[in-house]
Amino acid sequence: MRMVLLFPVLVMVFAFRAGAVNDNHPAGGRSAGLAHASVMLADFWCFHHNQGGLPYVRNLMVGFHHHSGFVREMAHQSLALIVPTSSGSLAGSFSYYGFSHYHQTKAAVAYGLHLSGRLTAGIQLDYFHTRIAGIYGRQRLFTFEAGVQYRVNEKWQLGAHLFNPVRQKAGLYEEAAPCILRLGAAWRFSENLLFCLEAEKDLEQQVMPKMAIEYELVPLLFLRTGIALEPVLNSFGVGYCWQELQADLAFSFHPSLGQVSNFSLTYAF
Amino acid sequence: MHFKRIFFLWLSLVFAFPDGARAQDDPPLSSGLQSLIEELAASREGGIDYQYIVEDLQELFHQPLNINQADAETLGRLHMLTPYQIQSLIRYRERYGPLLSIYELPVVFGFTIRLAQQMKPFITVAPSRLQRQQPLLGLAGLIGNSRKHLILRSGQTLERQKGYVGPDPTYPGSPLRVYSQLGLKYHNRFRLGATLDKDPGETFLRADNPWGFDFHSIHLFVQNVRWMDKLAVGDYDIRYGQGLVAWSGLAFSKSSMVLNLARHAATIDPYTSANENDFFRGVAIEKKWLPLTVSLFYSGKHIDANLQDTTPSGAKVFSSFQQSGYHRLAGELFDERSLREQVVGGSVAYNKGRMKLALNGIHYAYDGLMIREPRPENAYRFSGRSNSNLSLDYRLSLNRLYFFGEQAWSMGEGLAWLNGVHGRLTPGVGLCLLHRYYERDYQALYAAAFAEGPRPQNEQGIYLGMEAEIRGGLFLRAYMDTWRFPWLTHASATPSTGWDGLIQLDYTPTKHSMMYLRFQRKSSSGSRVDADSGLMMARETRRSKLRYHFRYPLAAHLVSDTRMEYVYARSDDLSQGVMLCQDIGFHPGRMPLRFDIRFALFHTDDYESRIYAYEDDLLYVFSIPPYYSRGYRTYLNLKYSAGQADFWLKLARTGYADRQIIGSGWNEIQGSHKTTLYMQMRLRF
Repeated sequence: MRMVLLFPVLVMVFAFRAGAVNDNHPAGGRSAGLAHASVMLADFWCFHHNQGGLPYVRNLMVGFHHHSGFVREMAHQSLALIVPTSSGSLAGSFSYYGFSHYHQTKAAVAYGLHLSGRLTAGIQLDYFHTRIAGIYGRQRLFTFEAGVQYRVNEKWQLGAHLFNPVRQKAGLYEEAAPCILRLGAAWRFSENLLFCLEAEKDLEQQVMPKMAIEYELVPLLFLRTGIALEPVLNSFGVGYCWQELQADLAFSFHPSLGQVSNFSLTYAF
Repeated sequence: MHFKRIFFLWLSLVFAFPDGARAQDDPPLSSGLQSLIEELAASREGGIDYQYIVEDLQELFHQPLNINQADAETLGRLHMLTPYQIQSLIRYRERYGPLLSIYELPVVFGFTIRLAQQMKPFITVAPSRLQRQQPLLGLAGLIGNSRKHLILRSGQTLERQKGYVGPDPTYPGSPLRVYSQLGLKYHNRFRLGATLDKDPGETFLRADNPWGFDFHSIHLFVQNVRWMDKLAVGDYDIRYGQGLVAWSGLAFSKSSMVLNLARHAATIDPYTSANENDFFRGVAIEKKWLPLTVSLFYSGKHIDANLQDTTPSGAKVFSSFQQSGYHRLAGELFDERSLREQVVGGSVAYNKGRMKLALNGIHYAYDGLMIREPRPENAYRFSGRSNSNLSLDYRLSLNRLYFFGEQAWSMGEGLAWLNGVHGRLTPGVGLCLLHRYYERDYQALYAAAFAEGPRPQNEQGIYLGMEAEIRGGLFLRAYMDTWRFPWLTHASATPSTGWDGLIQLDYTPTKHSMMYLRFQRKSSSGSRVDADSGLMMARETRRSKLRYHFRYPLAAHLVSDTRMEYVYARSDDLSQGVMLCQDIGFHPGRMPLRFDIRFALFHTDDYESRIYAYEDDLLYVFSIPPYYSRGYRTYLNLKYSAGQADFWLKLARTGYADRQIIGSGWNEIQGSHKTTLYMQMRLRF
């Protein structure tokens, strides 16, 4: 019943933002708390936002992320692993979006390395698999994404990321996966305060400006808030590091659709 | 004595403040306050009345506040401190003892040198001691020893407006506006005053105003007399909590003072403005049994309402309140004072340390029945004869954070919530977060809380504001507000959403020069019914503004202000506008004459891309005409002081290059320019 009532809303959301299939769903509780203004950040979940951040991860790490979706059927989960190598860092991830009658899985491998002391770059190969129940069947898509990060000085860091620049098409109707460019800058105002600013452009959509603040209230306890526009999304998050374990929780609010929650957990060996 | 404190004291002495502000005799409005008022006026139709702010500042200018013993309420009268800063100052005093000098102020967490400069004319630093109560002297003694002022103001539009033309003009009165005010003040203990006002077109000493003016207001206010802590008789203002239940007079909302959202005001104040609707008339008292403060008020007056038929039983029926205050046309005169309004309310506040908790209630009743037009957007608005509101409001100051909020009920109807937190993340960065949730059927006719819509009803949203001092003299302010109207509004035939963002960079390179660059964008999406097809159409409106303002001292006492503004508005059509504005101000410290001149050119496609700009004006007068169409605006504002008398003269003209008729209805002018001349005199004795 709930699904029936929400159907028009879901249709709207898909038409509005999601480009129907093969969408690149973001992961990471920290990023979600910052309204995904995270293209310039280098943390565990950076391979979902900018693989250029990977070489800054110097431990073997595993992580899990859960995104609730506005309804249960729009939930999204990710599982990932990062392995540092002598020249850079290697990452592998697997994510699942949807429910039994409509779901999309994404498997990816990424590699990032230092090009110079301040400049890093990374690339990721993606495999998308979408399945819709009944006569609609399934479709597959291969594509890639890449990003760079530049640390101007101790206070400023910049990031750029491009998803699916070749506009790979899939399925019977030659549906193109979205081509998305993200540019952003972060400014460390003081030791415990970080400002992030990002613009995201999907070729088919309006520019999505995002801004966020991360504040370290007491050592290793982080409070976050961010706002994205087009569409409007207010995010609030909290994160805590406990030795090798880091937990991040975030809530985002859309004025019409309501609330979504994100939770992620990472462990460094 | 802490070493850090001495160091900062020394440091701030090096950056000594400019002196001599007190040589002038009217308080300088701080640029922040000035832009606050400007933005407030831009967000409302018609003028605003900010007289009580000027009065507070003027009072403090002549009797500066001792910041070592002022309490939170008194510090609020400076109108430039956020509640967080007030709490921070109080905490500083508790911890380190009284301040030694004004130069110590920037050391207090949350204060800056710039803020201290703005506060300087209004404060002193004296050793804290028991407040000396000025003795009451009996009526004759009070009148003899009080400070008195008399203001007379008059002026008009010089061109003939349609309503005044012909042998039998539509407007019965003259186009002259006449205002006068007499006030007596004995320290903070006794105030007595009267305000009289006649709007253009209203009659004077004849027809329906045989007593002279169209609007009369009298106020009497005493503090700490017998068992009462405050007593107001006549006209007064009531301000409770965050404004969800009762808030009369000026109420600030979104502006470039991005952190100024938490409300903190005295619950009872004498009313001295000339707004003809927004006040209470009757008796209000306040009594303290620490830590409790109890206040009660009763108000009864006749108000203007749009009268309809009567019911079969003979009861009055009205469809809306009339807020314009004009009583010139037959229809306006018919509605004038047509409805009797009675309001009773009270509040019990518990103040302990850093916490305040208050229970507020208000009940209002009319001697007529309100029946609104049966349109869907009116479905949840007030109708009937009476209503009550009840609320619980709180403030709590914890370490670096200040929490505030109010939860309110409308009798038998909806709920409203407002919660916020304001604090400093680091000494240079302040943040304010506010969430509001007003149900579509929350009805409160005397409320004026933070809201995007015209009243705190049918709205939910999140506001985030931030202010950062990047380095000395360079400030960044920004806010972002997102909202949703869950029920239909006047502007949208479906539920609608929107957002409003502002980002501003302030730079103060030297003590007397200042510049800022501001970008603001507002976007809302809803729908409207297409007139031709009758179909519901999605509708998106966007409005962006870019402004650059630069103040520079050309010579001693000669200040130049340059402003450029560009507006881009898109709804059904695209509309753009641009304005260039140059002001010159001559403000000698000791000479009795001062003047301000403006010349502005504007070119906008239509009214959608109108541009507002602050005008230097007669004391206490504030109106910002929107600049639109193609033309110029210029004015000369003179002030001459002779002993205890001050004289003002303002001559202003707006000329249009692309129209031969200005205005509409009975205010229409045949011609391409509109000129106004106002004169004012103030005597102090």
